[in-house]
Amino acid sequence: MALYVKNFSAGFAGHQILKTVTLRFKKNQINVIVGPSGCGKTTLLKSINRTAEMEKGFSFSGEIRLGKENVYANQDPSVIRRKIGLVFQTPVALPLSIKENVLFGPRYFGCRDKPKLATVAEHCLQRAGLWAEVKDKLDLPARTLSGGQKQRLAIARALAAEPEVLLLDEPCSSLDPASTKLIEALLLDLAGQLTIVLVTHNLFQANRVAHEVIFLMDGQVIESGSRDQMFSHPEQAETKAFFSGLL
Amino acid sequence: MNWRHGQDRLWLAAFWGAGLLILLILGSILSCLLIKGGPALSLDFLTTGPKGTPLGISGGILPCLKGTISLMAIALTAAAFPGIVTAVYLVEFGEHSRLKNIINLTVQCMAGIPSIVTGLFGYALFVVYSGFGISLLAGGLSLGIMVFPVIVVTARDALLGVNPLYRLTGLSLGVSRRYLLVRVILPQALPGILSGLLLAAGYAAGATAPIMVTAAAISAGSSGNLFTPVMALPYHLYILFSQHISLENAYGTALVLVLLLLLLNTTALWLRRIKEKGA
Ligand SMILES: Nc1ncnc2c1ncn2[C@@H]1O[C@H](COP(=O)(O)OP(=O)(O)O)[C@@H](O)[C@H]1O
Ligand SMILES: [Mg+2]
Repeated sequence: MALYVKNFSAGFAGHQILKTVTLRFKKNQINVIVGPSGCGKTTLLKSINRTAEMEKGFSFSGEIRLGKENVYANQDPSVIRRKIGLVFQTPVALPLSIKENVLFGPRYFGCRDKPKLATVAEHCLQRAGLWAEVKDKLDLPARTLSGGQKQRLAIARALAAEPEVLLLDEPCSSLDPASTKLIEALLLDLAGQLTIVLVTHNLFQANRVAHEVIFLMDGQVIESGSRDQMFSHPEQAETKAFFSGLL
Repeated sequence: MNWRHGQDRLWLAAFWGAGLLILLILGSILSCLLIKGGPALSLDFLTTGPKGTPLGISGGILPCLKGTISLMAIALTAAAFPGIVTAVYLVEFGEHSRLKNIINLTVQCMAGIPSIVTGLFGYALFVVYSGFGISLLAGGLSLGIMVFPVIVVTARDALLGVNPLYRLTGLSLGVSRRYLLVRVILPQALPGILSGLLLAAGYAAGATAPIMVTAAAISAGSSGNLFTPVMALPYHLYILFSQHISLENAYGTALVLVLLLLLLNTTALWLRRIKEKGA
């Protein structure tokens, strides 16, 4: 499902972070957001899946739509959070077994059937490229996994909620190159099945996986376009400077 | 450079000194109790009731031990559930609400009420108004009021100690707060909450003032009847000592009380350790 952000501003306790952001994330593509740290990338992702409102003093104006659905229309944020998964920068393993981490959403959404749950767990771990490594230790505590495995577990857990959009906030920033490569391959696999929004501070990574690139600075969209256009022919001076490592 | 170094050593010495002082104080209390109360301690002392005239000049403390444990049990039964629920509300649900501040303030004030005042309140509410009379139930409930803020504060800290990323991660999957609470947050906070309950139990076991006016008797059987007065370790100790009945048995009783508290507190500490080692 395509995702639209329209004239969206947001901030904490009166301090404005996002300034009338207007964007379109293309359906079933990898949309990469780049920008200097502190420019509001995380705030944007958290606004999109409505976890920002858990934080103190959050306020916003403008609109975010998932297809035709207004993300902020529903009183209950959990409905939209299920449709728009978010994987955080720090890999988090819930203090449960590997399998129960994946089934955390499905069990809540009402799946009780044991063989069905086992299938869901396997399927999601497969899609997250983790199955081969964990299939013999599904009942071990998830904290025994490495950082890279935990991050893929987080992706499997998010996929298990059957989201239409997957947001990832610098998912590789604490991982080694091998794990990073695995996750990039995985994202390329997943694109085509669901809309992906990836925040990264790594321009090489952006270049490797992006279909679309959005350059955010100081809470504003400076420029966006296809990867080739953004990397080869950026129009704005700030974009040029950022992409050449000057910013 | 040398001055710095000297200063560091001074601080270090101060810390060590403070630590040693605490150990010394605890050590002296324990050894004093052991020396003076040790001789009174025996299996008989723990398994028979007080005897002689005045009562307690000989014999043991069984009814007091039973009474204290019953008082403790009632206090916890009454206060644990409301205390934990209050803490859960404060941490998990009351985030942006006014009520949270009011509750926090109330709990803080309750914690500051002198225990004899809690006792008087318990007397008015349970002994007189509710018609329980001077009784195990009235004393247990008064102690329950006394330990309620302890339970709230320890449970709140246990919940606050749970990795906040679990909440963010869990909720970002679209599950409810209640589901997250039951499956992740409470199990994580459980050792801390239990440890708080044990601390509260110890606090209740040692409190004398509230039960003096609501529950305690100089002599009572250990029938377990909720509506009759009970004997209790701290009150028995107080009577033995203040009425010059038997200093040796007073020390013996004190020793048993302190050992009970040590047991509760070390278990609490051990539980907290588990939590630190866990996921
Ligand atoms: N919960 C919050 N309360 C107040 N300020 C916040 C909060 N979260 C983020 N900020 C501020 O918003 C700005 C943007 O943060 P963030 O979205 O995390 O940037 P990025 O992810 O691009 O590095 C920062 O200046 C940060 O300090
Ligand atoms: Mg960020």
